[in-house]
Amino acid sequence: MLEIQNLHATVGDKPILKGINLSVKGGEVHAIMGPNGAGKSTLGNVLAGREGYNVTDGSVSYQGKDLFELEADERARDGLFLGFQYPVELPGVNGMTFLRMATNAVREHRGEEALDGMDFLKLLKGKIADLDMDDALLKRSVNVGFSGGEKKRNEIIQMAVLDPHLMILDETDSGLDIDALKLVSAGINLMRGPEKAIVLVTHYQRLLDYVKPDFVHVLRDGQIVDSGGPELAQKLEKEGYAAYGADEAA
Amino acid sequence: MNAETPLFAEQFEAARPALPDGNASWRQLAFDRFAALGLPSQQREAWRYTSLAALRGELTGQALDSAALAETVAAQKIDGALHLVFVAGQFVPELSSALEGIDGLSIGNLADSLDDTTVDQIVLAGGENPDEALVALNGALVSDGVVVEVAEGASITQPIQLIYLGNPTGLVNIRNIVRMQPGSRATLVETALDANAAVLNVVNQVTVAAEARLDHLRVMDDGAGANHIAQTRLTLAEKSHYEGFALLAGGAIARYEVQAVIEGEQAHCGLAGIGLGTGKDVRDVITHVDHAVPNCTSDQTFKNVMDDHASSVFQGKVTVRQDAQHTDAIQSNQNMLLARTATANAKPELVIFADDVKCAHGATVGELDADQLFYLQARGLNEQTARQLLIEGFIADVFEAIGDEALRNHLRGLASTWLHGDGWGDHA
Repeated sequence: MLEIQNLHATVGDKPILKGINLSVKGGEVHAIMGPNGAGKSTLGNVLAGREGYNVTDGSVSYQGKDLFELEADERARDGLFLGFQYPVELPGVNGMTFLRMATNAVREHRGEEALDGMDFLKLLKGKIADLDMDDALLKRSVNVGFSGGEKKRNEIIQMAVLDPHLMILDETDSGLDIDALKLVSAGINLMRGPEKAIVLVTHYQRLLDYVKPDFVHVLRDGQIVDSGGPELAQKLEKEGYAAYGADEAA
Repeated sequence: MNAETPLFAEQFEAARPALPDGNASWRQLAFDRFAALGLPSQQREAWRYTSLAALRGELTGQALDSAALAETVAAQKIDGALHLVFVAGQFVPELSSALEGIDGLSIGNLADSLDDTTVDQIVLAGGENPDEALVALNGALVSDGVVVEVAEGASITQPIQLIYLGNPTGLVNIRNIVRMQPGSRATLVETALDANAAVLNVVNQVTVAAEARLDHLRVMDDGAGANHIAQTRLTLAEKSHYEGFALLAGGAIARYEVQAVIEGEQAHCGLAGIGLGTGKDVRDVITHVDHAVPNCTSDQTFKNVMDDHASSVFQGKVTVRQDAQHTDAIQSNQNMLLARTATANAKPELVIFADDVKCAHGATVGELDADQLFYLQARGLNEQTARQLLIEGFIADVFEAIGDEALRNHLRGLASTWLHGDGWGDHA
């Protein structure tokens, strides 16, 4: 699904990613953990195609294609989903309208028919029921005035409706109380499947109590310095990142 | 005497025979006043951004074949409204609704309603201020318009829609006189379109009596080369309510001017508008809300989106006279520039003589937000669609000023259509 080789990237002139290698196959859940400033969010943004993040070396192939040949919107239509650490507020843009447009952009790209208002609503109601959420958020402007938890729930609703193949979830657990964390985790678990891959980018281990990863990687100073199974996350939770030379106290 | 007057005098004499009441002395009075004032130059602050160069061209035009325009008109008619269609400045009954039989509504085209009261109102409009010269010119050359009177206590549920189109090259002068009697209600919609290379000079005189309410919408969707200058003179009596909304979308120049005088207590004046421009379009909004008495409110919300070399202007003035205590006046002008070459001019002006008032104004100029764009693109929307969605989002709240849902959707649809047109939003 995703092959990252020797990926180097800068933000402005500053090198952030310094040779990342990672292979993610369908059906797998990977967790990328690391201290603040290790480059976790940069990795997500580079993969999603955000402007201002410059790839200086290495390659990334996604479903056999060179990812960097695709614009951000093409990547999204090809099934790559970035769950934002800080979902952006869109004043005046109705949540329902936005999500229907996005859904139809993806569907048309897949050669499926665009959904009219009624059919989209049907799809949406089904997904919302699966998630045990409600559609009140979608009746408002996207993310405007939402609490941190509501913004993350909205990301999960979008993910469920857009039905992507590769999900990169950037600090999706941050700012959630325990109930919201359970709800969001359940939403992520629903997306697991043999044709799906999930990359959880997180600082803390607690999300991993609810979404069990197959692999855990430690990102430190722009490189993956350790990889292992779920037990690695538990070790990090106890010992922190000090063993990897990080001096952070968070 | 202004240097340009001889030209206009010639045109005036040539135009008179075809005008209703053409040889009447009141037209000469109006013309003389115009001649004394002269065309306002761009040295004047109120006319700094609107060039009247188009007026120096040929002022008389050819009437167009109204039958050919029937289809265009049909597309613009608001369902359920009372329609009055003006082609090249002349009322066309065949394209319009029947005007009789609505309880409490007296309505007719101006050319057929020129009684002494109406003539007085036409001639007396506009002061001795050079900024008002086009009101005087309109008085001299007015060809038609509407005279509306809504009877005391009457509530007219059907919107009254005036459609102006097919204006030929030249100058077209329309005058509308609206008298809202005490406790009455009505909605007036003006739709201007398809007026290439013309100067459309519209003057509205509106009086809203005690406890009456008028909702007044203007759609300025003229053809690419058109110059549309609209001036509304408004007086508000006690506990009356006026809600104005203007969409300045078409034409090379779209200028929307409102001068409101609040003369009765507990009255409200709401003005809102959206300017959309590309190419070298000018969207010029000039307002003056004069709070003459205590305990009144006014609210002004204008947003502009300018692309390419277009420029927007908002000169919004609020006067609070010494007696007008407990005035609550707010004013906001927000601008989005889609290209480095586009311009926004915001000039709020508060003149306050009373000491116990709430007056606020704010102006902002910004551009499309890169984070918002990326968020939409990261969900699969292409850049063009993402930009349009954000622009529509930016102006979305202004439409809330339109109380009637069907009309609100109609106006929203027109703005959306315009924003999806060719060449829009490509100049980043």
